[in-house]
Formats: sequence, structure tokens, C-alpha cells
Amino acid sequence: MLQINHLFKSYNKFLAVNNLSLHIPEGDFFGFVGPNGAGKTTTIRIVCGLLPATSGSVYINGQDAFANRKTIKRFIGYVPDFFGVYENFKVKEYLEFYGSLYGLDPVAIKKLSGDLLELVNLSDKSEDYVDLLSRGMKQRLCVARALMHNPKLLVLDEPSSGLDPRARVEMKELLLNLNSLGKTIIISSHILSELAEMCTSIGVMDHGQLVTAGLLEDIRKSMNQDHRIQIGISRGVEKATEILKEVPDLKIQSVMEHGIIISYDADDETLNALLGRLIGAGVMVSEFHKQEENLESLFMRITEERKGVTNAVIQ
Amino acid sequence: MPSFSRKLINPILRKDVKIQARSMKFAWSLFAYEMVLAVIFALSMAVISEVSGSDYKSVVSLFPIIAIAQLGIIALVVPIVTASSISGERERQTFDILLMTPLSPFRIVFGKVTTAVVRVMFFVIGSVPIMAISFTYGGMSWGVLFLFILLCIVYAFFLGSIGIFCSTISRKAILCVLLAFGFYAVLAVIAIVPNFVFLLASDFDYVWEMPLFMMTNPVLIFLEFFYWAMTGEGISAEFGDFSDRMDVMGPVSSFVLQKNVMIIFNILGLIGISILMMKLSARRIDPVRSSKRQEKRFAKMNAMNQPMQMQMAPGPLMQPMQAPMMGQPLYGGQFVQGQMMNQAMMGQPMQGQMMNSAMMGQPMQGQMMNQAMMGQPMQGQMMNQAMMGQSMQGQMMNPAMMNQQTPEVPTPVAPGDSRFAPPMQETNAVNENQTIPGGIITK
Ligand SMILES: Nc1ncnc2c1ncn2[C@@H]1O[C@H](COP(=O)(O)OP(=O)(O)OP(=O)(O)O)[C@@H](O)[C@H]1O
Ligand SMILES: [Mg+2]
Repeated sequence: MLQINHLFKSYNKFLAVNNLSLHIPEGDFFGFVGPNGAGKTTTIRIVCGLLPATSGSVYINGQDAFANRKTIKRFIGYVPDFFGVYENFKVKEYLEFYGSLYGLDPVAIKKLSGDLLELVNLSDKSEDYVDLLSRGMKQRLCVARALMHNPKLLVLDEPSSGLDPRARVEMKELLLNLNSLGKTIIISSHILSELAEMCTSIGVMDHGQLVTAGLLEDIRKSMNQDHRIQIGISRGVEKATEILKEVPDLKIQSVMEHGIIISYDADDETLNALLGRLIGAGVMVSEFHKQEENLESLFMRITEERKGVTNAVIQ
Repeated sequence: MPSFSRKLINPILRKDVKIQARSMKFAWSLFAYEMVLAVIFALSMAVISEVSGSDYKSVVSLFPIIAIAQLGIIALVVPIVTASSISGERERQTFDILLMTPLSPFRIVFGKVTTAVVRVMFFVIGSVPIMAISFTYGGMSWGVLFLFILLCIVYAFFLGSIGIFCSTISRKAILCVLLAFGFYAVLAVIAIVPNFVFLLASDFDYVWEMPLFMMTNPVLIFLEFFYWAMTGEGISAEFGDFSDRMDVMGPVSSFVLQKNVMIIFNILGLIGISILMMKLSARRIDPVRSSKRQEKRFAKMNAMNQPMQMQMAPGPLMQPMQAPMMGQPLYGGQFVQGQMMNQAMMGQPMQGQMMNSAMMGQPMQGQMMNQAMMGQPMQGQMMNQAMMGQSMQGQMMNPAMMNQQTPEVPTPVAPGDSRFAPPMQETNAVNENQTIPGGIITK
């Protein structure tokens, strides 16, 4: 669906996007994460053809995005990072205006706007003025607008910034719904855990470079590379320690008053057997689970590490 | 019918007029304008009655006064309306969205200009009742009023296209307005200076060639118009009759000076300039067009980026060798320098590169042979490096810089996933190629 090759963008001397290559298959729900100034908006605007790239190429649906801009526009629904409103314009009129730009006939536009407002749950607001809507509603209206021409690819730049938790959930559900309807979605955000709730794959961007990209599962897996397992024990910690020491390939990471953390690369069956042995030996196990690194701390670690590398290079 | 009007009327115009119709600010400005007109009316009536007593026929001269006041207002208002029309969409963050629709940049510009025209025509139409006094009492033809309104539309269009062009230059509204006024001044000079030069050059003899230079001068349209409106004659009456001139210009001038021809030519001239200005503006707001303008520059940069991004197998030595031959010593040189920095940083001496191996004190087999073979390219290479020194900094896509960043990139989290092929893997892979001593060179 989207293929980016060796994309560079510099504003004067400042390199905002540095050799970014990425492939997003059709039907994917891709999350772009990165701190402020990472270059997410820049990349998204280049993909949409709103900003000329310095070098590199972008293919959307097999078409060169820089050469065939007219065709590309039909594939993309774009929701910019700031919601733009015209004052003195009603919700219904807002959608109808954009509909008219797509050359649909008025009857079809009316029906489509009605359907889209239904989809984004704004039917009861159709007569309200756009600039009086709440932020979350504006965001959803903007998504409805982006869907006006039934694009294959929906690109959203930080759609949930400034939304309250409830509006975020609504936005997430809307996007998941659209994804299940077959739309490829690209979304940018500062918050990895938020993306993790909806995206199938993730790209982490920092200082204009794509630090890592891949399926969310793979990233999650890589987070727990030493296969830590946390065992909560209300009674019998010593006993459990003895048993665990005998297991080959198992490393005890730390023993606490009410729990043990081990490092053990084993399949679920083996783990189950181990748990059975512990319980069978009379250890009171209250907790037994794989420890996963928190997504935020992963994000911090990735961006921190890179800061370290950059400093090292400068020195 | 509705679909016909939908196609005919620019959607931007319809949107903007709808928004404007709901705006209190616009209603108030229209009201203020009527007030100003009423004051002008009262003053001019006082002056007219002072000058010509109670002859009600002299009310006719009210028309040019009010009409000229309106032309001035159009010239003031149009750039103010257009100044914020592009930047206004930009500020509301709706401009990107507009550019993502099938609406072409030209149609966006055209819509914005017509919005300004429609807006200012509200003022012109609003003043018709006062102007009508000249017509009912002064016995002036209604066709004159009709022509005046038509001319105002063309004139507003012309000024609007200048205004929109200025608004693509700066995002600051005030600056756009000032730019537009500056543009007027330049146009006025362009329109008038040739006439004077010609007059001076011909010792004020060949006056008849003047109208040819005035064809696109908006001032002249109205001069002609008012002359005709007040006297019923074309301005040509002032210039005399040239039809008996023997040279080519005589008949041409006399044709142009016919009262209808002159005005039509003028209108066409203004429309032509307007379209040109709008096309230029459309080009300026189109992100892809503007990138096409820079395409050549990018193409050059791509040419020099390619070898270092990919570190292609043809090998480092091919580059400096080709570069002087292609007459591009700079790029070749840059490449070499980038490469050297790269090697120095990564601590991966590339065998086969003579400069490098000599520097690092690692004599290699095949080097002698290479040197013998490569004598001349070698010189080119060194020369390039010498030439390079400073030009490195100014370059946007500094290859050395980019190569420096190569080692920063950590390996991807999911290297097994072939869908996300990180560019750096490629780089590393080919780097290994380059360490084959002499292999590439001796080929
Ligand atoms: N028009 C511009 N001129 C110069 N520099 C710019 C321009 N636009 C962006 N930048 C710079 O490019 C870098 C990347 O900006 P970008 O807006 O893409 O970041 P982002 O990842 O979207 O950040 P955020 O999360 O804050 O939205 C920033 O350092 C910014 O200062
Ligand atoms: Mg951004």
C-alpha cells in the first residue's frame, strides 16, 4: 500500500527526515511514534504530497506519489494535526462542501454526509456550527470529512492529542472499526501505549530516523528478551527457591519477601509443569506471569539510547 | 439546473460567500461604506451647487466623482480581501485539506479572486442608488452604468489577481497589502514610462503611437470610459485622425482609437494579465509544482546521494574516476571525502582505495598495480578533494554528514520481518563487498 524509499527532507540545513524507508502493507494499522520534533508530521505531509521531499521516493498503491499526485490524492484521506474549521459553517455544510469538491451530485452528498455523521456518531450535531463543537467532535468530524471520497488509506496526524480519555476511546473504536472495514490506517502519536492498543505494527521515529519498525508482537517479544517471569508467593519462598534452583537453564534473578523473579526460556507446557510442581510442594503461589517491559519505558529507552549514541558521535 | 450551477460556480466562491453572508463584520463594513458614500454625496452636492448654482443638469458630474471614489475603494479593499485569503486558509489549517481534494490549485486561486470580486461588487452595487441620481436627473444613458459595473468587475479581477499573487509571497497580511500597492506602482510606471520615452524620443511628434502602449493600462480604460460617458466621444477625439497616415502605424492606431475597440482591447489586456497572475499564484501554492521547480537540483543531489546511500558495488573508485570525466569534479570529490570520513569513523579501512590505504599505512597487494593503472584518476581524485574543502558545508544533503550517522542506527528490533527492510542493512551488506581487495578495480 505504502512504500517509502530512502526519504530525506531537509529544511535549509536541518535534516528533519533522515533516510527513512518503510513498507506498510494493505489493511495494516500502522502507528508512528516519536517525541516532539521527530519528523512525524514532516513525513506524513511528504507522503500526502503536501511537502516536497529533498530526495527519496514514495509509492502509494504502486504509484509514484510525487509523479502522479492527482491519482494519489484519491487514495488518501488526510486528517492534519490541527483541526481546521471555517467559522460560520454548519457541520452538515462542512461535509457537503468537501463532498462538492469531489464532484458528487447533491443527493449523493446529502446521503453520504448523513451516513458518515452516523459513523462518527455526530448525527445529532449536523445543524450545529462547526467552530462550536468540542475538540473530540471536531476530530471525529474531520475523520468523517477525510472519508468523503472513500479513500483506501487514512492518514491521521495525532488525532487524539488534546482529547479526554473518553474521547480517546471513542476515537480508537472509530479507527478500529474503519480498519476492520478494510482501510489501511497510518496514525502518529507521542504515546506508544496508546498506539499499542490499536495498531498492528509500529514505527518508532526519533531525530528524523526510523529507529525500529515492525509488528507490534515482535516488538513486544523483543521487550522480554530474557524471559522474565514473576512469581508471587504468599508463603514458602525458601521452598520455592530450592525447587527453582534445581531446574536446568533457569536463572533466579531476585528473591523478595513475597516473590521471586526468574529468567526462564520455556514453552507454556513446561511453565505449567513448573507451576504445578511449586503448588504440589505446598508453595502458596498467588501470581505467576511473564513480565513484560512497559511500553513507555521501552520508548524512553530507545530514544535515550539514541541520545547517548548521538553524543558519543559528536565527541 | 442545480448541477449546472454547481459546475459553473467555483465551490470555493460558494463557500466563502456563504461564510461571508453570515459574518457580522461584513455587514458592518457595508454599512460603514454606505455612510462614507453618503458623506461624499453630500459634500459633492454642496460643491456642485456652489459652482453651478441651481442647474439640476450639473448633477451629472456627480457620477464621475462617486465612480472614481469607488475605483479607489476597490483598489484599497481588494488587496485587503485577497491578502488573507490564502494565509487565512493556512491559519485555519484548512489549506492542506483543500490541496488534498481534487480541486486544482488554479481553481483555488480563481475561487479566492472571484470571492474578492464578489465581495467588492457588494460595495459597488450598494452605491448604485446614489449614482442613479446622475442618471435620472442628468439624463445619462443607463448603458453607461451597466458598462461601468462591467469595467469594475474586470478591474477588481485584475487587482484581485495581483493581490492573490502577493498573498502567496508572504504570510503576513499587512505585508501582502503593501506588496500589492507596490505592485500597482510598478505597473503604473511600466504602463506610463514607455509613452513618455516614446514621446520624448519623437519630439512629441508621433503622438498617435501612444495608444498602443496604453492598451493594458487600467487608468486609461477609465479615462476613456469617463471621457466617453461625459462627452459621448471616444478619447481618440483628443488624438485626432490618423487614417490618412501613410505608414503602417497610422491605420493601426486609428483602428485602436475607435472608442469600442480601445475599451475591448483594454479589457482583454487586463483579463490576460489576470490569468497570468493567477497561473503564477497557482504554481506557487502547489507543493508539487514548486518541487518540480527544484527538481533539477534534486536530480543532481540524487545523483550524488545514490552512491553513498547504497554504497553500490561499482565501487568507490569508479566514482572519482567518472566524476572528472563527467565534468562534475565537485560531486566526485565530495563523494571521496564522505567516504574517507566514513571509513575513518567506522574504522573500516576499505582496501582498494589507495588514498586510504596509504594513509593508514596498510600497504596492500594489488595496490601497485592499481596505482599504475589509475595514475590519472588518482590525480583527479586528489584535485577534487582539494577543491572540495569548503563547498561541503553549504550542501543540504551533506554526504559526509549522512555517512557519519550510519553507525548510529541500531539494528531493527525485528530483523526477521522482511516487511520492514531498514535501509541500513543494505548499507552494511554492500560495505562488505567493498572490502574485497582490488576486486572492483581490476575488473
Ligand atoms: N517549515 C519548517 N521549517 C523549518 N523547520 C521545520 C519546518 N517544519 C518542521 N521543521 C522542523 O522539523 C523537525 C520535525 O518536525 P515535525 O513537525 O515533523 O515533528 P513531529 O514529529 O511532527 O513533532 P510533533 O510531535 O511535535 O508534532 C522539527 O525539528 C521542526 O523544527
Ligand atoms: Mg507533528
